[in-house]
Amino acid sequence: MDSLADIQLPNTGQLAIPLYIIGILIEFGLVCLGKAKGQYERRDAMTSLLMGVGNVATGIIYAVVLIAMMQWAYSYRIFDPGITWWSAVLCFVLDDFRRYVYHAGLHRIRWWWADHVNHHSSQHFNFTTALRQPWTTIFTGSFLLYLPLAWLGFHPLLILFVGGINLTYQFFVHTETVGKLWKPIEFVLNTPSHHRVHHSNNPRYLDANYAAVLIIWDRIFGTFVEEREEDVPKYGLVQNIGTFNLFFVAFHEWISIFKDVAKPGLTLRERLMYMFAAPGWSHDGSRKTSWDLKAQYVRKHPDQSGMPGLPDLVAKNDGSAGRVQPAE
Amino acid sequence: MNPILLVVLIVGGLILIDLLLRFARTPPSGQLESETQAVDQLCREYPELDASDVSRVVLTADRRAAFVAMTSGPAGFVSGMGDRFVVRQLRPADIREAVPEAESALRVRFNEVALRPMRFEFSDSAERDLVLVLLGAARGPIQTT
Repeated sequence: MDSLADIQLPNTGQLAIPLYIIGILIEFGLVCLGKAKGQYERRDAMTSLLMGVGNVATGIIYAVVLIAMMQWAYSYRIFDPGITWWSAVLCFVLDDFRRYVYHAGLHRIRWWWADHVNHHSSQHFNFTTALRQPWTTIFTGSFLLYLPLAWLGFHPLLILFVGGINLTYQFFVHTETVGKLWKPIEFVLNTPSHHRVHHSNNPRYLDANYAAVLIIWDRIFGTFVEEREEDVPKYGLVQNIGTFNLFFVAFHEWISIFKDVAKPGLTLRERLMYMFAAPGWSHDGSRKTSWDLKAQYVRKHPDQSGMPGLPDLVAKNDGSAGRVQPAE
Repeated sequence: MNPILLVVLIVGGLILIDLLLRFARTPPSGQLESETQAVDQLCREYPELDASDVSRVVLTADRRAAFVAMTSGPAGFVSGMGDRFVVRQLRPADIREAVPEAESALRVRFNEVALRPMRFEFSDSAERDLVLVLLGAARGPIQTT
Protein backbone atom coordinates (compact mmCIF):
# COMPACT_ATOMS: atom_id res chain seq x y z
CA MET A 1 0.00 0.00 0.00
CA ASP A 2 1.17 3.55 -0.66
CA SER A 3 2.38 5.02 2.58
CA LEU A 4 0.59 8.07 3.88
CA ALA A 5 3.68 10.14 3.06
CA ASP A 6 3.44 9.25 -0.66
CA ILE A 7 -0.02 10.67 -1.14
CA GLN A 8 -0.68 14.39 -1.27
CA LEU A 9 -4.23 15.45 -0.57
CA PRO A 10 -5.16 18.81 0.91
CA ASN A 11 -6.08 18.83 4.60
CA THR A 12 -9.56 20.15 3.97
CA GLY A 13 -10.40 20.35 7.66
CA GLN A 14 -7.54 22.70 8.45
CA LEU A 15 -7.96 24.76 5.31
CA ALA A 16 -11.57 25.44 6.28
CA ILE A 17 -10.67 27.21 9.52
CA PRO A 18 -10.12 30.63 7.91
CA LEU A 19 -13.44 30.11 6.09
CA TYR A 20 -15.16 29.49 9.41
CA ILE A 21 -13.77 32.68 10.93
CA ILE A 22 -14.69 34.78 7.91
CA GLY A 23 -18.14 33.18 7.78
CA ILE A 24 -18.84 33.96 11.42
CA LEU A 25 -17.69 37.56 11.04
CA ILE A 26 -19.87 38.09 7.96
CA GLU A 27 -22.92 36.45 9.52
CA PHE A 28 -22.47 38.41 12.75
CA GLY A 29 -22.08 41.64 10.79
CA LEU A 30 -25.25 41.02 8.80
CA VAL A 31 -27.22 40.13 11.93
CA CYS A 32 -25.91 43.14 13.84
CA LEU A 33 -26.80 45.51 11.02
CA GLY A 34 -30.28 44.02 10.81
CA LYS A 35 -29.68 42.83 7.26
CA ALA A 36 -30.31 39.19 8.04
CA LYS A 37 -32.24 37.03 10.44
CA GLY A 38 -30.45 35.50 13.38
CA GLN A 39 -29.12 36.22 16.82
CA TYR A 40 -25.81 36.13 18.60
CA GLU A 41 -25.30 36.02 22.36
CA ARG A 42 -21.74 36.39 23.58
CA ARG A 43 -21.51 33.60 26.15
CA ASP A 44 -23.39 31.20 23.94
CA ALA A 45 -21.15 31.96 20.97
CA MET A 46 -17.92 31.73 22.96
CA THR A 47 -19.05 28.46 24.54
CA SER A 48 -19.64 27.08 21.07
CA LEU A 49 -16.27 28.25 19.77
CA LEU A 50 -14.36 26.92 22.77
CA MET A 51 -16.14 23.58 22.44
CA GLY A 52 -14.83 23.60 18.87
CA VAL A 53 -11.30 24.22 20.05
CA GLY A 54 -11.62 21.34 22.51
CA ASN A 55 -12.95 19.16 19.73
CA VAL A 56 -9.87 19.90 17.62
CA ALA A 57 -7.59 19.07 20.53
CA THR A 58 -9.34 15.80 21.47
CA GLY A 59 -9.72 15.01 17.80
CA ILE A 60 -5.99 14.47 17.52
CA ILE A 61 -6.30 11.31 19.63
CA TYR A 62 -9.35 10.25 17.66
CA ALA A 63 -7.52 10.81 14.38
CA VAL A 64 -4.57 8.67 15.45
CA VAL A 65 -6.88 5.77 16.32
CA LEU A 66 -9.01 6.30 13.21
CA ILE A 67 -6.10 6.39 10.77
CA ALA A 68 -4.51 3.33 12.34
CA MET A 69 -7.73 1.34 12.10
CA MET A 70 -8.43 2.48 8.55
CA GLN A 71 -4.93 1.52 7.46
CA TRP A 72 -5.43 -1.90 8.98
CA ALA A 73 -8.78 -2.35 7.23
CA TYR A 74 -7.38 -0.98 3.97
CA SER A 75 -4.68 -3.65 3.98
CA TYR A 76 -7.47 -6.23 3.62
CA ARG A 77 -9.33 -4.28 0.94
CA ILE A 78 -11.64 -6.05 -1.50
CA PHE A 79 -11.26 -3.62 -4.40
CA ASP A 80 -8.59 -1.11 -5.40
CA PRO A 81 -10.19 1.93 -7.02
CA GLY A 82 -7.14 4.09 -6.33
CA ILE A 83 -7.41 7.84 -5.98
CA THR A 84 -9.25 9.21 -9.02
CA TRP A 85 -12.03 11.73 -9.52
CA TRP A 86 -14.68 9.03 -9.73
CA SER A 87 -13.42 7.12 -6.70
CA ALA A 88 -13.49 10.43 -4.81
CA VAL A 89 -17.10 11.06 -5.84
CA LEU A 90 -18.14 7.52 -4.95
CA CYS A 91 -16.28 7.71 -1.65
CA PHE A 92 -17.96 11.02 -0.88
CA VAL A 93 -21.43 9.60 -1.49
CA LEU A 94 -20.80 6.46 0.56
CA ASP A 95 -19.19 8.46 3.36
CA ASP A 96 -22.17 10.80 3.34
CA PHE A 97 -24.46 7.79 3.75
CA ARG A 98 -22.27 6.57 6.58
CA ARG A 99 -22.68 9.95 8.24
CA TYR A 100 -26.47 9.75 7.86
CA VAL A 101 -26.58 6.34 9.55
CA TYR A 102 -24.22 7.46 12.29
CA HIS A 103 -26.18 10.67 12.88
CA ALA A 104 -29.44 8.75 13.23
CA GLY A 105 -27.72 6.58 15.82
CA LEU A 106 -26.41 9.65 17.64
CA HIS A 107 -30.02 10.69 18.26
CA ARG A 108 -31.45 7.30 19.09
CA ILE A 109 -28.85 5.60 21.27
CA ARG A 110 -28.20 7.38 24.55
CA TRP A 111 -24.52 6.38 24.73
CA TRP A 112 -23.95 8.11 21.40
CA TRP A 113 -26.34 10.94 22.27
CA ALA A 114 -24.12 11.76 25.22
CA ASP A 115 -21.40 12.68 22.71
CA HIS A 116 -23.72 14.57 20.37
CA VAL A 117 -26.02 16.38 22.82
CA ASN A 118 -23.65 19.29 23.34
CA HIS A 119 -23.85 20.17 19.65
CA HIS A 120 -27.60 20.67 20.13
CA SER A 121 -27.29 22.42 23.49
CA SER A 122 -27.25 25.97 22.14
CA GLN A 123 -30.57 27.80 22.07
CA HIS A 124 -29.20 29.79 19.15
CA PHE A 125 -28.60 28.73 15.57
CA ASN A 126 -25.73 30.44 13.81
CA PHE A 127 -22.31 29.57 12.42
CA THR A 128 -20.81 29.31 15.90
CA THR A 129 -23.33 26.54 16.64
CA ALA A 130 -21.72 24.52 13.87
CA LEU A 131 -18.46 24.54 15.80
CA ARG A 132 -20.03 23.44 19.10
CA GLN A 133 -18.60 19.96 18.81
CA PRO A 134 -17.95 17.10 21.25
CA TRP A 135 -14.84 16.19 23.18
CA THR A 136 -15.73 12.54 23.76
CA THR A 137 -16.13 10.98 20.32
CA ILE A 138 -13.35 8.52 21.04
CA PHE A 139 -15.70 6.82 23.55
CA THR A 140 -18.40 6.18 20.97
CA GLY A 141 -16.38 3.75 18.89
CA SER A 142 -17.57 5.60 15.78
CA PHE A 143 -14.23 5.01 14.08
CA LEU A 144 -15.48 1.47 13.46
CA LEU A 145 -18.04 2.84 11.01
CA TYR A 146 -15.22 4.02 8.76
CA LEU A 147 -13.87 0.50 8.34
CA PRO A 148 -16.29 -0.66 5.62
CA LEU A 149 -15.14 2.22 3.41
CA ALA A 150 -11.51 1.21 3.86
CA TRP A 151 -12.35 -2.46 3.26
CA LEU A 152 -14.09 -1.51 0.04
CA GLY A 153 -10.76 -0.07 -1.08
CA PHE A 154 -11.01 3.67 -0.54
CA HIS A 155 -7.65 4.97 0.63
CA PRO A 156 -7.75 6.33 4.21
CA LEU A 157 -6.47 9.69 3.09
CA LEU A 158 -9.18 9.88 0.45
CA ILE A 159 -11.79 9.10 3.10
CA LEU A 160 -10.41 11.89 5.28
CA PHE A 161 -10.23 14.27 2.31
CA VAL A 162 -13.89 13.82 1.32
CA GLY A 163 -14.83 13.89 5.00
CA GLY A 164 -13.22 17.29 5.35
CA ILE A 165 -15.22 18.62 2.41
CA ASN A 166 -18.36 17.14 3.94
CA LEU A 167 -17.74 18.83 7.30
CA THR A 168 -16.97 22.16 5.64
CA TYR A 169 -20.27 22.03 3.77
CA GLN A 170 -22.13 21.28 6.99
CA PHE A 171 -20.74 24.43 8.62
CA PHE A 172 -22.65 26.60 6.17
CA VAL A 173 -26.06 25.03 6.86
CA HIS A 174 -25.98 26.27 10.46
CA THR A 175 -27.61 29.64 9.87
CA GLU A 176 -30.91 31.50 10.03
CA THR A 177 -29.73 34.11 7.52
CA VAL A 178 -30.75 32.02 4.52
CA GLY A 179 -34.33 31.06 3.78
CA LYS A 180 -35.36 28.23 1.51
CA LEU A 181 -33.25 27.77 -1.59
CA TRP A 182 -34.10 26.80 -5.17
CA LYS A 183 -36.37 23.72 -5.06
CA PRO A 184 -33.98 21.29 -6.81
CA ILE A 185 -31.31 22.18 -4.27
CA GLU A 186 -33.75 21.76 -1.39
CA PHE A 187 -34.69 18.37 -2.81
CA VAL A 188 -31.19 16.94 -3.05
CA LEU A 189 -28.99 18.77 -0.58
CA ASN A 190 -29.06 19.46 3.10
CA THR A 191 -29.80 23.18 3.42
CA PRO A 192 -30.11 25.74 6.22
CA SER A 193 -33.87 25.21 6.16
CA HIS A 194 -33.55 21.44 6.54
CA HIS A 195 -30.94 21.82 9.25
CA ARG A 196 -33.02 24.36 11.20
CA VAL A 197 -35.59 21.60 11.49
CA HIS A 198 -32.93 19.22 12.76
CA HIS A 199 -31.76 21.60 15.48
CA SER A 200 -35.16 22.57 16.75
CA ASN A 201 -37.02 21.04 19.69
CA ASN A 202 -40.51 21.51 18.24
CA PRO A 203 -42.20 18.09 18.61
CA ARG A 204 -42.75 17.60 14.88
CA TYR A 205 -39.10 18.38 14.15
CA LEU A 206 -37.51 16.04 16.70
CA ASP A 207 -35.31 13.30 15.29
CA ALA A 208 -35.58 14.49 11.70
CA ASN A 209 -33.25 15.48 8.87
CA TYR A 210 -30.10 13.60 9.83
CA ALA A 211 -28.40 14.40 6.53
CA ALA A 212 -24.84 15.66 6.31
CA VAL A 213 -24.77 16.86 2.66
CA LEU A 214 -27.39 14.80 0.81
CA ILE A 215 -30.93 15.15 2.20
CA ILE A 216 -32.01 12.34 -0.12
CA TRP A 217 -31.10 9.80 2.58
CA ASP A 218 -33.78 11.32 4.84
CA ARG A 219 -36.29 11.25 1.98
CA ILE A 220 -35.47 7.60 1.22
CA PHE A 221 -35.61 6.38 4.81
CA GLY A 222 -38.57 8.43 6.02
CA THR A 223 -36.81 10.82 8.39
CA PHE A 224 -37.42 13.97 6.33
CA VAL A 225 -39.54 16.81 7.69
CA GLU A 226 -40.02 20.09 5.85
CA GLU A 227 -39.67 23.39 7.68
CA ARG A 228 -43.09 24.95 8.08
CA GLU A 229 -43.74 28.69 8.29
CA GLU A 230 -46.43 28.20 10.92
CA ASP A 231 -44.15 26.08 13.11
CA VAL A 232 -41.13 28.31 13.62
CA PRO A 233 -38.14 26.32 14.86
CA LYS A 234 -37.18 26.79 18.49
CA TYR A 235 -33.58 25.73 19.00
CA GLY A 236 -31.95 23.70 21.71
CA LEU A 237 -32.72 20.59 23.67
CA VAL A 238 -36.07 19.35 24.94
CA GLN A 239 -34.67 20.26 28.36
CA ASN A 240 -32.11 22.97 27.80
CA ILE A 241 -28.98 23.03 29.88
CA GLY A 242 -28.58 25.79 32.41
CA THR A 243 -24.87 26.42 32.16
CA PHE A 244 -22.16 27.80 29.91
CA ASN A 245 -19.51 25.89 31.86
CA LEU A 246 -17.50 23.99 29.25
CA PHE A 247 -16.95 20.94 31.46
CA PHE A 248 -20.67 20.46 32.06
CA VAL A 249 -21.57 21.27 28.46
CA ALA A 250 -19.18 18.54 27.35
CA PHE A 251 -19.88 15.91 29.98
CA HIS A 252 -23.32 16.50 31.52
CA GLU A 253 -25.07 13.68 29.70
CA TRP A 254 -22.23 11.24 30.42
CA ILE A 255 -22.52 12.09 34.13
CA SER A 256 -26.28 11.65 33.96
CA ILE A 257 -25.89 8.23 32.33
CA PHE A 258 -23.60 7.03 35.07
CA LYS A 259 -25.87 8.42 37.78
CA ASP A 260 -28.83 6.60 36.25
CA VAL A 261 -26.92 3.34 35.80
CA ALA A 262 -25.77 3.46 39.42
CA LYS A 263 -29.29 3.87 40.83
CA PRO A 264 -30.06 1.18 43.39
CA GLY A 265 -32.71 -1.44 42.74
CA LEU A 266 -32.47 -1.62 38.95
CA THR A 267 -32.24 -4.80 36.95
CA LEU A 268 -29.32 -5.38 34.60
CA ARG A 269 -31.63 -4.79 31.64
CA GLU A 270 -32.75 -1.44 33.06
CA ARG A 271 -29.15 -0.35 33.63
CA LEU A 272 -28.26 -1.26 30.05
CA MET A 273 -31.35 0.55 28.80
CA TYR A 274 -30.23 3.72 30.56
CA MET A 275 -27.04 3.46 28.52
CA PHE A 276 -28.29 2.34 25.14
CA ALA A 277 -32.02 2.99 24.82
CA ALA A 278 -33.37 6.17 23.24
CA PRO A 279 -32.71 9.41 25.12
CA GLY A 280 -35.56 10.03 27.53
CA TRP A 281 -36.15 6.37 28.32
CA SER A 282 -36.67 5.68 32.02
CA HIS A 283 -37.42 2.53 33.95
CA ASP A 284 -40.38 4.17 35.71
CA GLY A 285 -41.80 6.22 32.83
CA SER A 286 -40.87 9.45 34.57
CA ARG A 287 -39.18 10.90 31.50
CA LYS A 288 -40.26 11.40 27.92
CA THR A 289 -38.67 10.20 24.72
CA SER A 290 -39.03 12.08 21.44
CA TRP A 291 -41.84 9.71 20.55
CA ASP A 292 -43.70 10.53 23.77
CA LEU A 293 -43.39 14.25 23.07
CA LYS A 294 -44.68 13.84 19.53
CA ALA A 295 -47.64 11.74 20.74
CA GLN A 296 -48.39 14.33 23.44
CA TYR A 297 -48.39 17.06 20.81
CA VAL A 298 -50.78 15.11 18.54
CA ARG A 299 -53.16 14.45 21.43
CA LYS A 300 -53.35 18.21 21.95
CA HIS A 301 -53.50 18.93 18.18
CA PRO A 302 -55.37 15.95 16.66
CA ASP A 303 -55.59 17.71 13.28
CA GLN A 304 -51.81 17.20 13.01
CA SER A 305 -52.02 13.43 13.40
CA GLY A 306 -50.01 11.68 10.70
CA MET A 307 -48.34 14.84 9.42
CA PRO A 308 -44.61 14.55 8.63
CA GLY A 309 -42.69 14.13 11.85
CA LEU A 310 -45.78 13.29 13.88
CA PRO A 311 -47.36 9.91 14.71
CA ASP A 312 -50.60 8.78 13.23
CA LEU A 313 -52.83 8.30 16.28
CA VAL A 314 -55.88 6.89 14.56
CA ALA A 315 -59.11 6.11 16.37
CA LYS A 316 -60.22 2.51 15.82
CA ASN A 317 -63.87 1.53 15.31
CA ASP A 318 -64.14 0.53 18.94
CA GLY A 319 -63.22 4.08 20.01
CA SER A 320 -59.77 3.19 21.30
CA ALA A 321 -56.78 4.99 19.85
CA GLY A 322 -54.50 3.01 17.62
CA ARG A 323 -50.85 3.75 17.75
CA VAL A 324 -47.94 3.19 15.44
CA GLN A 325 -45.32 1.93 17.88
CA PRO A 326 -41.74 2.92 17.26
CA ALA A 327 -39.26 0.05 17.14
CA GLU A 328 -37.34 -0.26 20.45
CA MET B 1 -1.01 24.32 7.09
CA ASN B 2 1.74 25.46 9.39
CA PRO B 3 0.69 24.50 12.96
CA ILE B 4 1.81 27.85 14.37
CA LEU B 5 -0.23 29.71 11.77
CA LEU B 6 -3.20 27.51 12.63
CA VAL B 7 -2.90 28.33 16.33
CA VAL B 8 -2.54 32.04 15.57
CA LEU B 9 -5.63 31.92 13.36
CA ILE B 10 -7.70 30.13 15.97
CA VAL B 11 -6.62 32.27 18.92
CA GLY B 12 -6.82 35.46 16.90
CA GLY B 13 -10.25 34.52 15.62
CA LEU B 14 -11.51 33.80 19.13
CA ILE B 15 -10.26 37.12 20.48
CA LEU B 16 -11.66 39.09 17.56
CA ILE B 17 -15.09 37.47 17.77
CA ASP B 18 -15.23 37.91 21.55
CA LEU B 19 -14.35 41.60 21.28
CA LEU B 20 -16.95 42.19 18.58
CA LEU B 21 -19.62 40.44 20.62
CA ARG B 22 -18.75 42.49 23.70
CA PHE B 23 -18.98 45.84 21.99
CA ALA B 24 -21.70 45.25 19.43
CA ARG B 25 -25.40 45.72 20.08
CA THR B 26 -26.58 42.49 21.66
CA PRO B 27 -30.06 41.21 22.45
CA PRO B 28 -31.46 41.91 25.92
CA SER B 29 -30.42 39.59 28.71
CA GLY B 30 -32.72 36.83 29.90
CA GLN B 31 -34.79 39.02 32.19
CA LEU B 32 -38.47 38.43 32.74
CA GLU B 33 -40.58 41.49 32.02
CA SER B 34 -43.54 40.19 33.97
CA GLU B 35 -45.10 37.25 35.76
CA THR B 36 -47.09 36.63 32.59
CA GLN B 37 -43.91 36.14 30.62
CA ALA B 38 -42.74 33.57 33.15
CA VAL B 39 -46.00 31.67 32.80
CA ASP B 40 -45.80 31.90 29.01
CA GLN B 41 -42.27 30.46 29.03
CA LEU B 42 -43.39 27.63 31.32
CA CYS B 43 -46.44 26.73 29.22
CA ARG B 44 -44.39 26.94 26.03
CA GLU B 45 -41.92 24.34 27.35
CA TYR B 46 -44.62 22.22 28.95
CA PRO B 47 -47.63 22.52 26.63
CA GLU B 48 -49.63 20.07 28.77
CA LEU B 49 -49.82 22.82 31.44
CA ASP B 50 -52.57 25.40 31.47
CA ALA B 51 -51.93 28.99 32.46
CA SER B 52 -55.23 28.98 34.34
CA ASP B 53 -53.74 26.40 36.74
CA VAL B 54 -51.13 28.86 37.96
CA SER B 55 -51.82 29.93 41.53
CA ARG B 56 -48.82 32.17 42.23
CA VAL B 57 -45.68 33.50 40.54
CA VAL B 58 -42.65 34.63 42.51
CA LEU B 59 -40.06 36.65 40.61
CA THR B 60 -36.55 37.13 41.93
CA ALA B 61 -35.45 40.68 42.70
CA ASP B 62 -33.36 40.86 39.51
CA ARG B 63 -36.23 39.36 37.49
CA ARG B 64 -33.88 36.75 36.02
CA ALA B 65 -35.79 33.85 37.51
CA ALA B 66 -39.30 32.93 38.54
CA PHE B 67 -40.93 30.18 40.54
CA VAL B 68 -44.45 29.27 39.51
CA ALA B 69 -46.89 27.57 41.85
CA MET B 70 -49.53 25.42 40.19
CA THR B 71 -52.85 24.36 41.69
CA SER B 72 -51.69 20.80 41.19
CA GLY B 73 -48.42 19.25 40.12
CA PRO B 74 -44.84 20.35 40.53
CA ALA B 75 -43.73 23.97 40.64
CA GLY B 76 -42.42 25.62 37.52
CA PHE B 77 -38.99 27.23 37.33
CA VAL B 78 -37.89 29.75 34.73
CA SER B 79 -34.34 31.09 34.75
CA GLY B 80 -32.48 33.44 32.42
CA MET B 81 -29.69 31.78 30.43
CA GLY B 82 -27.89 34.41 28.39
CA ASP B 83 -30.68 35.96 26.36
CA ARG B 84 -32.81 32.83 26.58
CA PHE B 85 -34.46 30.89 29.37
CA VAL B 86 -34.13 27.50 30.98
CA VAL B 87 -37.43 26.05 32.14
CA ARG B 88 -38.18 23.13 34.39
CA GLN B 89 -40.89 21.53 36.45
CA LEU B 90 -39.31 21.00 39.87
CA ARG B 91 -40.31 18.20 42.19
CA PRO B 92 -38.85 17.90 45.70
CA ALA B 93 -36.68 15.04 44.42
CA ASP B 94 -35.08 17.45 41.92
CA ILE B 95 -33.75 19.63 44.74
CA ARG B 96 -30.58 18.47 46.45
CA GLU B 97 -30.45 21.42 48.78
CA ALA B 98 -32.28 24.72 49.33
CA VAL B 99 -30.64 26.89 51.97
CA PRO B 100 -31.90 30.30 53.07
CA GLU B 101 -29.21 32.95 53.17
CA ALA B 102 -29.11 36.45 54.56
CA GLU B 103 -32.50 38.16 54.82
CA SER B 104 -34.15 37.18 51.59
CA ALA B 105 -31.80 34.98 49.58
CA LEU B 106 -31.94 31.32 48.74
CA ARG B 107 -29.16 29.08 47.50
CA VAL B 108 -30.37 26.05 45.59
CA ARG B 109 -28.49 22.99 44.42
CA PHE B 110 -30.25 20.76 41.94
CA ASN B 111 -29.90 17.03 41.41
CA GLU B 112 -29.78 17.56 37.67
CA VAL B 113 -26.25 17.80 36.32
CA ALA B 114 -27.16 20.38 33.67
CA LEU B 115 -28.56 22.80 36.28
CA ARG B 116 -25.74 24.33 38.25
CA PRO B 117 -26.17 25.69 41.80
CA MET B 118 -27.89 29.07 41.85
CA ARG B 119 -28.45 31.84 44.34
CA PHE B 120 -31.68 33.77 44.21
CA GLU B 121 -32.43 37.09 45.87
CA PHE B 122 -36.09 37.89 46.55
CA SER B 123 -37.75 41.16 47.47
CA ASP B 124 -38.43 39.95 51.00
CA SER B 125 -38.13 36.93 53.26
CA ALA B 126 -41.80 36.05 52.83
CA GLU B 127 -41.31 35.42 49.12
CA ARG B 128 -38.13 33.48 49.79
CA ASP B 129 -39.94 31.29 52.32
CA LEU B 130 -42.78 30.75 49.88
CA VAL B 131 -40.33 29.44 47.30
CA LEU B 132 -38.92 27.10 49.94
CA VAL B 133 -42.38 25.66 50.33
CA LEU B 134 -42.81 25.38 46.56
CA LEU B 135 -39.58 23.44 46.31
CA GLY B 136 -40.75 21.10 49.01
CA ALA B 137 -37.95 22.19 51.28
CA ALA B 138 -40.32 23.57 53.89
CA ARG B 139 -43.92 23.13 54.92
CA GLY B 140 -46.46 25.89 54.80
CA PRO B 141 -49.46 27.22 52.92
CA ILE B 142 -49.01 28.73 49.49
CA GLN B 143 -50.76 32.06 49.44
CA THR B 144 -52.23 32.86 46.07
CA THR B 145 -52.33 36.38 44.68
